[in-house]
Amino acid sequence: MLDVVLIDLSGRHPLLRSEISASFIDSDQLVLDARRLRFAGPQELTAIVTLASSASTDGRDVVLRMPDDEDVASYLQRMNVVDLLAPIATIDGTLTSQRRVDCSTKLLEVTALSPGNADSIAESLGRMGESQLSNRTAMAAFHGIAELIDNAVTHGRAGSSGAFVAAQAYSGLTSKRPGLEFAVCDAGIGVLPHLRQNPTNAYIADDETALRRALVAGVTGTQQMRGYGLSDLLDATRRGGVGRLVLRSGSAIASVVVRQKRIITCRNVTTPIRGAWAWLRVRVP
Amino acid sequence: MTQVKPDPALPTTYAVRRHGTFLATRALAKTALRELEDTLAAATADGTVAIDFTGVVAMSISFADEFLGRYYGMLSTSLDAPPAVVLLTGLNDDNFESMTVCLQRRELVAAMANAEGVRLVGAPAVLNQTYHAAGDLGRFTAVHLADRLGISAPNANNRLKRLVAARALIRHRRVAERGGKEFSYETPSPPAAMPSVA
Repeated sequence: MLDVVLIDLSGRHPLLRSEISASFIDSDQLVLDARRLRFAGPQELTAIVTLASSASTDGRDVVLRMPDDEDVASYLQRMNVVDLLAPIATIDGTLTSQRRVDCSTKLLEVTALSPGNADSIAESLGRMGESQLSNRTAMAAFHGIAELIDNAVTHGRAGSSGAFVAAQAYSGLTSKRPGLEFAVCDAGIGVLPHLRQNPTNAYIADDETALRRALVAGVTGTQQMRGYGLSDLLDATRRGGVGRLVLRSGSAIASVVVRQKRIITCRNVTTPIRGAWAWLRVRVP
Repeated sequence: MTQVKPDPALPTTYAVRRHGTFLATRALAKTALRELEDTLAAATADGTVAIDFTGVVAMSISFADEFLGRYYGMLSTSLDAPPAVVLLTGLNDDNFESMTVCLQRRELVAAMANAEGVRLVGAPAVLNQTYHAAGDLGRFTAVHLADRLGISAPNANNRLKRLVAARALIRHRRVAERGGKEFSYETPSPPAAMPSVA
């Protein structure tokens, strides 16, 4: 099987771009090259750890090349990326000693998500939103985060294949809009195979269609009256703020900008991922 | 046989807050539902049950669906099973919204109590109109309600069934003077001590 052996994490928010810069070769190694990374957020952090964890579980050697930028390298350390990768990967680069200050009202370091801690994480993030955002936007953020966490622990098989979450609230000093970013990545079944478990979705043949369908209310991989999570997330976001959801699974990515209306774009991408990645940003309107 | 009206001052209360202030997952909701059922079984609750959301800041619609969507779904399948009255209390605006969405999707309704009285959650306009009329009538029969609303008795009966299924209306059964069974209905009173909202 041809596996990704080198993922080039360069520039700002490289994993929110449609295409991931990756090289393929038949190899037992995965290199996450973050040397040219200039700005990272919860999506990059959780994806790095999920990719590494998944590759390690498959018996592959994992290497993380730390960012050349000291601030970015320090942020990766502060957000637990290095601690989580140290037992399973070779960390290539300079590490600094850090004195941790409790910032739990502003950030959630990368944390392994499991059915056992899902609700305490949701509770922490609910409080984070309450302390940093207006009430309506905080409620919108919580509803979105809650649905993504529930999806990951229910369908993403968090705990068995590895799922990770991270979040960061920001004050809006530079953007003028306070907000909250949340990411959850799992290496579970993925959206397409999940939806196809329900015979009514057997016609869905590709990842792009699966992502489009997953955003529609009532489309579910179960045979119960479910499948409203992502649609509810978008409704809640619109009620309480403005937001953006980026969902990646298999060989497709969907981006939904939520303002007065939803602007949905879905496309196929070159580099497939295992499982599903979701990134949500909710900001005060 | 006439049922005794539950004492509104002494409801069996299930505090949802015990599960946290932000309630997210279906797994947690399943736990809450099991606990609610155990609590009611242990209390042999056949009177008024208050499901109290005081202190709960927010719950996801998925949580609401797995917890109370399922609970009200079960209640609706058996009109005569206890409890006689179920009231949601302490709902803030956000939790009210989550409950409304969850119940409407399942075409169910529930009764909520606050300082202003008892009202329905998730109900279509026609059922709200029926409930207001029921409140005005005191103790009444389906025929009384039909007369009041200008609808047929079978139509009134259908509406009453939905309200009894939601445990939003107390149904009294007695033997009619000419034989057979006869039902009369009344709306429940809010519990004497209403919790404050989160």
